[in-house]
Amino acid sequence: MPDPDEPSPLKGLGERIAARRDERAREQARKSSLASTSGLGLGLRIATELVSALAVGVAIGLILDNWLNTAPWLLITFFILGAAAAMTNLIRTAKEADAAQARERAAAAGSDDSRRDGETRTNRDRSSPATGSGTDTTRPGNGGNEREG
Amino acid sequence: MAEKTSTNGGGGGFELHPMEQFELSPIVPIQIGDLNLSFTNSSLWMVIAVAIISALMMLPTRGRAMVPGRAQAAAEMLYETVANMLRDSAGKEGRQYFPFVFCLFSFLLIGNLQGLIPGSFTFTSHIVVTFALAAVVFLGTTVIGFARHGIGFLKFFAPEGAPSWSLPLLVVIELISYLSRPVSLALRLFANMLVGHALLKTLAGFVFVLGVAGVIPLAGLVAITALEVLIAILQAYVFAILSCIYLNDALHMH
Repeated sequence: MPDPDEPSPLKGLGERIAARRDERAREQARKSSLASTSGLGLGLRIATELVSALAVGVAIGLILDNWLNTAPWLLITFFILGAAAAMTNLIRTAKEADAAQARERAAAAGSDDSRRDGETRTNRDRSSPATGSGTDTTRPGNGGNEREG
Repeated sequence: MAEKTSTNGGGGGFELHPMEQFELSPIVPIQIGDLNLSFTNSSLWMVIAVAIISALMMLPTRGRAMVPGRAQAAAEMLYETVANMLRDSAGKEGRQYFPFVFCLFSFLLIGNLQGLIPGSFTFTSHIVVTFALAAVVFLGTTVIGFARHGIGFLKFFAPEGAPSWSLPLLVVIELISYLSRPVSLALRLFANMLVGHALLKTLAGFVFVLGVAGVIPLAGLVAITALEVLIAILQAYVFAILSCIYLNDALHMH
């Protein structure tokens, strides 16, 4: 028989589950950064990003030139536009990598911002307390939405 | 990539054909009109990849054990990797596209990895294959974008906060940038697989040519094989995660 005075163990179970799930998602976000940590992957990404935008620009220029009989002019225009697009791609990729790195660094430094929001979770003390290196300006786990600014 | 380059390896008339491994050879020739629909060695290895994935996913999970065995743990790990990747980059709305992303990732992963088995064929080293996959991703995300936001999806090509006089120029640049997505997606995977395998074959040729001194390229070969395993996994991952990011753009328009 359950003791009516004792709070039911099921009380707030939903909250606890939700909190734990949030926490896990944040942990996962920290871990799953294979693409950002690998300099090799990033380098290859940037290289293809550059080449492909330029190639698309040149292709559009050539096709339009062929179609409109405007010999070299559209090719030249779209070559330049393609180069501009390549630079845009490049800057975006670099920004993205920067953001991922900042997130990672913040996650490595102060890893329990989850402590602050409520004490619904009681049975988790495995995460080591923050070692005082306060890099709280960039908070971890704010999704992946800061790309393509 | 069917051209045959015969590079002479020098020394003793030993011939090196680093590109020969990428040649397509029909196993079951099928010709319909002008279309060559032969079942090639590339198709064969695609079927093998699908068979491996199906076996990995279906056989160990038949028992539905609460405590997974080794094979089931591997299957679950693959599932979780993709699920997390999709959730991290495309959010909750991305969930419904999980089957597609999972198929894409596992197909590329197994395709890249099985290509490292000596004597096998790497179908991802053909730009036709990678570009077809990239085109599906590109067209799919574009259709999703327009279906979700209607004509408002065109705002995607107009950067916010830009002065209106620069808009025509910026829209063209954004458009080129957008169109370059499938090209870079296809090019990256194809180039990585092609270069890696050609390099392995070339270095392997040196081992025989150099005789005793061949241990030096052999050592390099071991290291590069390890690197190739990493690249095989990484490129499948990058392809899948970029697909998720493009999906996120289509769903949320950044």
